[in-house]
Amino acid sequence: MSDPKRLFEDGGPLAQEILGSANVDRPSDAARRRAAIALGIAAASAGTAVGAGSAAAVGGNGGAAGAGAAAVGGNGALAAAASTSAAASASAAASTAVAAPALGAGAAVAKVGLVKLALAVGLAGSAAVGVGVAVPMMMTAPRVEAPETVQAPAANPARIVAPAVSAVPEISAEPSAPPATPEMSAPPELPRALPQKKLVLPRAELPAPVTAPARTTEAPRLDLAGEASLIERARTAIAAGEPHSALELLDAYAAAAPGGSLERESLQLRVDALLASHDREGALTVARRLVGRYPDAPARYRELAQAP
Amino acid sequence: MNGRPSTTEVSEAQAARRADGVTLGALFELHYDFVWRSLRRLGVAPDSVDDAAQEVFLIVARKLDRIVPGAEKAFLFGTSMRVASDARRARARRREEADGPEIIEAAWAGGPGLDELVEQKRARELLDLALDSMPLDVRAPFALFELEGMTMAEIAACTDTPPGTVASRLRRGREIFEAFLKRAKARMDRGER
Repeated sequence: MSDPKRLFEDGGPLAQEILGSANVDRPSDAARRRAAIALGIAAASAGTAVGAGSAAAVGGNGGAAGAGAAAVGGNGALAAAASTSAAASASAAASTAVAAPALGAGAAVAKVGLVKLALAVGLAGSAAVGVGVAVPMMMTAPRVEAPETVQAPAANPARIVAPAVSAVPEISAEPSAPPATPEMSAPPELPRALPQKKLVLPRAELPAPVTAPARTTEAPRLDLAGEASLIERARTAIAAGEPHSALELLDAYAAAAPGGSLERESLQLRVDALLASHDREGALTVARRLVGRYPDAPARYRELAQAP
Repeated sequence: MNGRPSTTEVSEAQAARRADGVTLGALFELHYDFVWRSLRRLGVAPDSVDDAAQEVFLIVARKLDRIVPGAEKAFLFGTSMRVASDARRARARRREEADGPEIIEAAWAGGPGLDELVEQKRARELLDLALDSMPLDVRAPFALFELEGMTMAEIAACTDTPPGTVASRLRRGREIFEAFLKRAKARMDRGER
């Protein structure tokens, strides 16, 4: 079955404009968080936090990849704060924390954000213990192996599961933390982790991930949820016309999960991203590697791999 | 469609872990965005997509053990099609609207001018109109091929449809879309709103 050319490429400017408008189809981070909480799978966010934390260590200094990953790490830690708070205060505190957006401009900012948001949760829930418990948990605990399940008050049927917080040491290790701002209020809504139109960090400036300092533990390896989160964000970046951001995320993925279970998908996306950034030679190289490793790759990659 | 799951549903979701270790959480992380995009492109209203996506994953949670390993995406898309179909029917009942070209014409007539096509929002509205003029079984492969960028082989697997059927439905979808484009261009040439 040979595929026809896509209308986006072949249908003229009006078709391109109309079909291209579908790039705006994406869920908000807030919607994703709400769904995860409502489904009782905040543990998935925990996994994401672990993975993204390592990616933040990988991705570095507030660049596109670092920003995206750090924001996710912030989400996970948010869930930790929320669950801790939920144990001691009203469910409203938990939902406040969950609805509060991640501060995702960079790893260091994420760290500051965690403290601020933990404090905000405590205030929102009128529970000083929310602060007292949540902050030490994030700042000192190197890893929580088993997710802690906390039963929310009866008024809120959804349980919230505390995530692992192994990402915290890496986030805390970021040396170039901007000074914390004194204000306590969490912003009402934050933009998505991925910038819409710009790529801040040149790829050459990415620090080598495996050499990123891990002070207290070895760099955590991405679990499946963490892998999936990075891959999905790379896919979203490509769909949004940001192939360079996608490449940053895929670099972070390759570094944090070498030979990971989504390697095939990551290679396919890398081909797409390279093509979108007009690097045909690079795309051909990766396509050949993809097909060499996965001979049943989709036809378009196989065709590309055979191109002269 | 209710966005708030019952306590029982949440418990089921929390417990959802397949014998081979695949969890609802992993599927959620991997496919939530795909499900969300699919629902939107299958005709769920923008303000209902979040709830619909949640509903899809609640169904997944209940049936996790019955999903064939490797066919998770196909199951998610099939479920999304059913949820989208229900949502579209409910919306149609609420509006007491009829399917077919009349609704497209009506929506078109009430919209902003075509000279504002440069605006992303208007272009997205036109895409909705074009997609709304396709039957669901045509709309699905069209959206997966033209918007999601999947190959026809991937679509055949994802929709559990024979490749020949995918090809013919995609052809039909493209014909409908191109007819839509012709009408749009004609209106633009006439300077109509």
